[in-house]
Amino acid sequence: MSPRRRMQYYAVLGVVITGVLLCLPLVTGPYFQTVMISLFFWAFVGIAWNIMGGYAGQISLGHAAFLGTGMYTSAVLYVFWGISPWLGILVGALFSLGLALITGYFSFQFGIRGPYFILVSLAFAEIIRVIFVNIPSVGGSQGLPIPLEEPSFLYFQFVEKAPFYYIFFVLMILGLFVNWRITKSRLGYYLVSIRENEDAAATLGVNPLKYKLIALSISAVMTSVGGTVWAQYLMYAEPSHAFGVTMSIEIAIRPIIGGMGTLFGPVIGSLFLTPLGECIRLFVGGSVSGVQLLLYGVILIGVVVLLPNGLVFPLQRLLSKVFGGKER
Amino acid sequence: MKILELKEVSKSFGGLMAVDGVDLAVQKGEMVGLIGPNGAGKTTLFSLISCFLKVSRGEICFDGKRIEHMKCHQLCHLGVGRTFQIVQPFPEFTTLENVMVGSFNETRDVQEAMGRAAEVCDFLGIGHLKGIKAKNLNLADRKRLEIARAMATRPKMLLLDEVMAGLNPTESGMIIELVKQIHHQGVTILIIEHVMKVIMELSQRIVVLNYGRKIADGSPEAISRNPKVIKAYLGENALVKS
Repeated sequence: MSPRRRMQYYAVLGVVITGVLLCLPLVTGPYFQTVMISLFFWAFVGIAWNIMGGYAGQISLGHAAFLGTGMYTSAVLYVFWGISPWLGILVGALFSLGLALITGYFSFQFGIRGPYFILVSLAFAEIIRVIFVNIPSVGGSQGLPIPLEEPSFLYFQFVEKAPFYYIFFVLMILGLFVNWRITKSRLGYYLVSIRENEDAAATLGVNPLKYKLIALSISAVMTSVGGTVWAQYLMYAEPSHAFGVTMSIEIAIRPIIGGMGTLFGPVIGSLFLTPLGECIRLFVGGSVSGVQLLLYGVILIGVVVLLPNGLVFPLQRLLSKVFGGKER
Repeated sequence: MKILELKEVSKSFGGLMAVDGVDLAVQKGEMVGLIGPNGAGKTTLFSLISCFLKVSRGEICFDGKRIEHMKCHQLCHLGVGRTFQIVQPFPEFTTLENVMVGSFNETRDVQEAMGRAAEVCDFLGIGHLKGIKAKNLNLADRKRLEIARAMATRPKMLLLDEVMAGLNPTESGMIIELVKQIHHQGVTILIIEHVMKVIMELSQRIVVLNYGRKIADGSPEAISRNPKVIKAYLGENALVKS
């Protein structure tokens, strides 16, 4: 089969999947939609994380900092001043960009790499969490509820699940598009070269500091946007959820399981993990407390051991078997 | 015209003087060999010139500009390319993609970079390996990839650190030819090499380091007869016997 033909098949496959996903809310109930919303959301923030962690190879366990900033900024603006979360998205993104540049600059300028960067990012998110726990005016550790006043598109409030389904779906597609554009540009090549060998990249004219900061900025802004929409969906911003270590891990785990540094890795990871978590909770949740986490953990370990490069690769092989063509 | 000039360059690691007051000038278009016994400070000197390490004392000028406080990528933009003694490919990238990272110095456009990288690959005889991931290449091909990447940045000067090490005679013969061709294109070359035959054949001038100091600087013939050099390589007795 010619590559052109194969591309056509993949395009058709893409259109069919998109079409089915667009029609699903018409025939499904709120529970299914909730699961799908989570799936899209985690896929989107996973894509954001992957640009930094997967492509540029700078693994962060502090992305909750940007997610929480997105959640809290729009929530505070709306609750205290009645400013539409649509504007809040932008303001939150700006704050996250600022935070990303500051922490990134001080980390990368002083050569903090690998495990040390993980620790810095972890500490960074924790610091912000502790700060928010101690600000009573935004609810302290109780969090800040976003009151449902008049459901409207302008104020980003909906009673139904379906609008959020579509918004998160569009976000995920946009995320994929941004990511795809990056991989097809000089930036994409530079990011991977830094991941693969920073010193060699530098001798070839790549400024590691600059490009790591660019990667972190894109990643932070996207995560923050996801955070704002997530807050509108939950109608709640709470420090231990928004800025917690659990959140950072949840953001990172899907691209890691799905396939780091691949376009569809985060989506595949979310497609696997989000329903899995849901099923385990549903079937064994009530029996013994904690057993669901145990099972979830065991399955995670199993996947990592069996498919250390991510779920996306066996899937790719399967697809190329179906559609023909040689593997790379 | 001098393209590279080192004045009193020193580098110490704690108490160890790895490079000790070295003066060195390289003319534009010259091919200079840098030799010396193991641990003489050759690679350290390379790292200083390519801004991987900061000098403890002294100045380095390239093309009339002070470079000793620059970052690696800035030096690349000025026109210095280097290869590493231990090859440093981007393992998950294909050969072509590896070289493209170098080509991106001249263009932002991916298609154009791809075209230029392909030319460089063909020139270095690794054109048939364009689609192979670098982690699957053998050592000889990796060494050529290393040179290809550096050449793709269109350097005025190329620093080659033991590009022949670990290769068999056929393979190193191939690389010698390539280095000659690159030199003919007008690129100034500073080359570290252990194989004497290679360095004698390639270099117009040879600089010898020992214990971080420059002990000789001259034509290959003069160097091969220089008693200090023979002593440094073969020890005190060699001179007495011969």
